[in-house]
Amino acid sequence: MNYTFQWGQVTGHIPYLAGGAMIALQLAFFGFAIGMVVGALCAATKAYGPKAARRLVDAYVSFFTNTPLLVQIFFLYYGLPDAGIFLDSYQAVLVGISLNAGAYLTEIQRAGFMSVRRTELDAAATLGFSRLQMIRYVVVPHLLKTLYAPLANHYIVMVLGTSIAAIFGVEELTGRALNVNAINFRSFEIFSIAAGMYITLTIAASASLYWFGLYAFRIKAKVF
Amino acid sequence: MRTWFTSNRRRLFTATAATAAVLATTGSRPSSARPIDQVVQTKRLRIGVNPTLAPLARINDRNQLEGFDVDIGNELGRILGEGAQVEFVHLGSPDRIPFVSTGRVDLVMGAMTRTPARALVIDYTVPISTQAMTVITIEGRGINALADLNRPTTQFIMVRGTIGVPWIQANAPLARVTLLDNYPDAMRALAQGRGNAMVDVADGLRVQMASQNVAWKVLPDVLAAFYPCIGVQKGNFTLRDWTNVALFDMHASGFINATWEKWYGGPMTRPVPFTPYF
Repeated sequence: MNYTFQWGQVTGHIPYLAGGAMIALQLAFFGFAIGMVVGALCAATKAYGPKAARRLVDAYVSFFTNTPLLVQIFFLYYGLPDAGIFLDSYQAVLVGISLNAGAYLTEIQRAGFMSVRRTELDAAATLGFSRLQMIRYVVVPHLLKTLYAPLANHYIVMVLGTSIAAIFGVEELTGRALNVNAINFRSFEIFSIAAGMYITLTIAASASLYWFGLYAFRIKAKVF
Repeated sequence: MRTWFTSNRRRLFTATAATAAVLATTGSRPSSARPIDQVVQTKRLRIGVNPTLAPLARINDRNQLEGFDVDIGNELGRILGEGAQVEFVHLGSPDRIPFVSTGRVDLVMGAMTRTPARALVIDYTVPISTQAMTVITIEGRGINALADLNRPTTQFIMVRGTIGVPWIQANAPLARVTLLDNYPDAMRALAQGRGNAMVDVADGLRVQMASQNVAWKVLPDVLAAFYPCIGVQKGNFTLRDWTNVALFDMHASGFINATWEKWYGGPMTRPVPFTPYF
């Protein structure tokens, strides 16, 4: 009754699984990019917007950070069609992870805005900086240094979180691993390879983010 | 400030790594199968059922598990002996084989159709029922005959790990397929218009179909006939042989047919043949 490993039944599926890993990476990238835009707008609204808009952003952040991502995507995928809004599997997952990321990134970016010290801005004004120069030479470098590490960490968490897409028929890495498992039932071998691919993805993403941060912003970010 | 933790960082790391290694080599080992002696000794039989596949199994209005598989499982418990308890484990279709092959359940039900690929990984008892695989579609979705299936405009909604998936790959390679994880989600997706066909056993999906307010249509062609059995961990011959004897008695006494009619409202489309030799 001892389990016999059959790696040969699984290795032929590695290119198929690698294709799924690319879809996972793509979902995380687009989700993060959209989430960054949503987060920046909401963070700016929270920092400088009128009271009504701030309340609206608070409600959005509160809803999306206090409900599971899975439930949010279930609502988008199975709930919205009853209201006449029809998103396909990929769209529903992308919208879900983008809105979810947007809520978390709102808080991260707001913390960045709040960390710019008044004295730095006063010093820049004393030196005769224009508003644009102030943003270019004082606010942005400060924000990037403060926010780079938490943003990079959130991106890596999002890469791993894309596995949720399998439930909605998106054939990313986990979905493809489940498909192969349904063909030859070699669960140990298949999910070991899938886990290895996720580790490779996150290490590669961490390394790229580290070097990008170092060369683009001179930040030695500790990413994972 | 140096604390014990900072000054003993290396020792802590070594201890953590050693603990992780021990856990990886012992804790994560799959549970072994339990032969019939052990099942009798513990008076506990663990059976995997799929509650999303009514009327094989479902959660009723009182939050209790019921259905054809549940009655068969309870009867196995009764035959096993006085005081024997049946523990039902809820599984989805893709989980059935991993759960029984790693010893997390002793037996697995939930339309465990016998196929050569699955028989490489698990063992099967004698059949408990029959299944006729057909095409399930909805009026007005453009599927009127088998010839309509192998087209790029055909979008199948299927449950991952079910017997219809390889049939589509072999017979309708031009069609697109969305794979979901359970029947309620798949039937809802089909009804909502995310696809226009499914290849599965329509008899077993009547309850799911009735829950969606659309005009279902089942094509008359029977694509294949299958024999659902009970799955047992590979090599657990003592439990498989005992279950075969118990199932023969249940077939011979008419218990299985009567239970089927109780849950499906009529006899099996193709009665399951049974024999004293297995």
